[in-house]
Amino acid sequence: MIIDFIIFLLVLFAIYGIAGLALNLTLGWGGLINLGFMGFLSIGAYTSAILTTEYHLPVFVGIIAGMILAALISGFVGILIRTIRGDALAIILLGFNFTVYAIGLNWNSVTRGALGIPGIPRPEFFYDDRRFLFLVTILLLLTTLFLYRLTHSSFGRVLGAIRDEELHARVLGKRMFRVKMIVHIVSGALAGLAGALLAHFIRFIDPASFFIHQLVFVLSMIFVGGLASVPGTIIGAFILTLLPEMIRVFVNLPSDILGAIRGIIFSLLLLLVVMFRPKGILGTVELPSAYADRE
Amino acid sequence: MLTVNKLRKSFGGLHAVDDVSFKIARGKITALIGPNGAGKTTLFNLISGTMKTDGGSIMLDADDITALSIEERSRRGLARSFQLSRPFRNLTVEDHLLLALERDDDLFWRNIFFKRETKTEKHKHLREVLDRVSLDAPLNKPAADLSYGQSKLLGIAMAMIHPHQLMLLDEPVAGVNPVVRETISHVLRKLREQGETVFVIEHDMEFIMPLADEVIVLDHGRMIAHGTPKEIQQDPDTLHAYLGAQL
Amino acid sequence: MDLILQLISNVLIPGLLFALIAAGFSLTYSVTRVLHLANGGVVIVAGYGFYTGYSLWHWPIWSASLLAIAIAILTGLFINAQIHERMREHGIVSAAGMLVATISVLLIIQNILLAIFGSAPKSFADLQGTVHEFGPVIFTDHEIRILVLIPILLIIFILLLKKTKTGKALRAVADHEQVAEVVGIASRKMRMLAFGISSFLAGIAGILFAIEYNLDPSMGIMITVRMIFRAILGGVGSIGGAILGSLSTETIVALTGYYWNVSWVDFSSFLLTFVVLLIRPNGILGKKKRIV
Repeated sequence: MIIDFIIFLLVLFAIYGIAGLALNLTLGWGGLINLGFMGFLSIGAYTSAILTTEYHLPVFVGIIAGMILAALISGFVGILIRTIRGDALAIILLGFNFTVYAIGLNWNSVTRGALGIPGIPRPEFFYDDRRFLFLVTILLLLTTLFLYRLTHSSFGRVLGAIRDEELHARVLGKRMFRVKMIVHIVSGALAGLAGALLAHFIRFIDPASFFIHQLVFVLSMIFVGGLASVPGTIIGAFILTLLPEMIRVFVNLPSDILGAIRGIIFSLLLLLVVMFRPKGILGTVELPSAYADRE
Repeated sequence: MLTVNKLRKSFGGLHAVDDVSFKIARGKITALIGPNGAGKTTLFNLISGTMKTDGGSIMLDADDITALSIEERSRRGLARSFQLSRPFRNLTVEDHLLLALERDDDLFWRNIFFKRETKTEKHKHLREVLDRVSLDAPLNKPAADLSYGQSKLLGIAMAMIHPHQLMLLDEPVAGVNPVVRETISHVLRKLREQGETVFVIEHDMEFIMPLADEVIVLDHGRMIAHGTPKEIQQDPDTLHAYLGAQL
Repeated sequence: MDLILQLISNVLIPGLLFALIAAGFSLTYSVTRVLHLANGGVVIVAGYGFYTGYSLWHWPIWSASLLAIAIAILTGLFINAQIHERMREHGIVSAAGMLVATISVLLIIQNILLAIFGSAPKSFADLQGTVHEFGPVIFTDHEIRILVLIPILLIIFILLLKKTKTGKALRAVADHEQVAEVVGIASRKMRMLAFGISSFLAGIAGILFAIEYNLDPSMGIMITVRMIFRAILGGVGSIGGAILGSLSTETIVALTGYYWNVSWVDFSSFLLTFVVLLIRPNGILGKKKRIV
């Protein structure tokens, strides 16, 4: 049924919308090159999946636990990386992503390793796709409102100042570490939420569900839609969730080649946007130049 | 107001600030002068906290602020403008002024869930400040689009609007045209009339000597003179430092 | 004692391979200021070039190697000319944009290889040669090739950088691009050269790597991630740091594998890098301002 398929896509769109907003908060508004983002999604997803399958806790408890754990770890990472900047920071965070992946793959007794976790339950009331769509739509709306409010408040202005000129913002008395920690924790919690929702929707996760390919997917969303833009992120999520399905509908190819072609299209899209329209469709900011410290 | 005691800072073997002690009096304009590389900006960095000291202490009134963070010093009432006034590239003039004006805008819950921005009242205040420094730019203009002179004026306006006891101005007229220079001179005079305490680095003697109440001379990281402009102009060490550097 | 010898042999093979890859990566970073994350992609491009020549077309090993190296160099030069140089010309390019671009390139390479060659690993067991026992230590013919070839290459590479005029020009651009331009060094050419050299090294490493550990498209990301950790551990921009970082990481990897569990080697090597970076934000041998 085509309608079921559309509902399926809309759910994915809503979940990735939440993820995109979380990533954009750190990258677009915060100026933090958060290449460890998928790690936080993974933590949310695994926490909720394990709590609901192994320990049979209610799904909502699992989701909230996933959010809390992702937020805590994100905050902890924030404390550890506070003296590191720029490229080194980006790489450390990429390494964090890689580490979470490696733990998921090798901590067999808890994560079942490469086999992944099957049979993750849906929430009782939202068991079918339509009802699940209702749930995630509400959550996306709440997240959007929250992010809009956050970034259009005076707190958002402070965040922008820290992104643009950290030292000047501090000389103006803005407590940088506290602001960055809040961003880490909020973004971590939202990433955990998106990850947990994804786990309960797809009902299966494995370490590869949260790795570089998915990172590039979410990065593409916010670079295409626009850095530091709420509507941009939503539009980006919409375009990017529909795009691969278009390819699947119109082109008939064997599945492993299809996967490769999807990978090529996402990466190429991201590359072209970064090269020729770094602000994205609705983006509002230019991030500091990579060569600034050279001149 | 500000007491600096035996302050030291060296980079490798170079003593950028070497055993410097002085006091800055409330309600006066104190100028910090000296040849290039005398350690003036380093001294400012030590006072505002953007560099760590190697030794000595800095007191603001009765409080020792030597160990405090940049943010905390700013919140205790240190306002500072920069020599190279690089604005926040994605923010508007209004954003800049509000950032300088507001104190608790970095608080999360209050600003997101409780506070409403009341624009009109604030806008009036912001425009007044822009008028005082004769900066003729719309509030919603991106600060990145300001000219060099305008961004200097914005930097001074931000230091003025920042709740402060002491203003640190780093070369306010370096590289600006004569009109802006005259404006800034006027602004400084006004500040003195209002009883503000200003500590200013300046290279331009003709500009600063008529304005300053007191002058501190730095050379090779050492304080070689401290007095009224008149005393300084006759001080043999100062003349030697300047002439020696020029010859 | 036997154990130590065995561990050393386990450290040297991957350590030298990664040293070669990370040395090229460090060179490109210090000269162009781009974190060349696609370097792992160049390594596997060379591997598949070799596979095409040797296994598909049945060329002799030397001509297949030449083909692989040539393809690797072309790939590296293409990436620099078409992506990094273009982004430079556009003016404002954020560090985030640069990083995202190089990650995209890596994934494009990996997926193209996946589409052409499929995901099944390619093996070159016949090229590993016979096994030699030196007391407790065991090396194959191929591993002896690695042990001899890579140190020679690294020494030549360092000597060229230190002694020749071109090498000095490269280092001048790395130290200060504007100053180098003023004294008449064409920095654009030097950036091309840096990519050429690093791709040459990546090409050789790719062939040796493929023979030692087999070859599949997903190795691109793995090699890149491991390469950057080894490079930033030693200090990005420092060739000696790349070598030191590779060898010390492989030591930790070998110890983890021996005392704990082979599954956790990536975890422990990341932990090592992380701890070192917390203490020395520029890596073991990194100078200040190399990586901010």
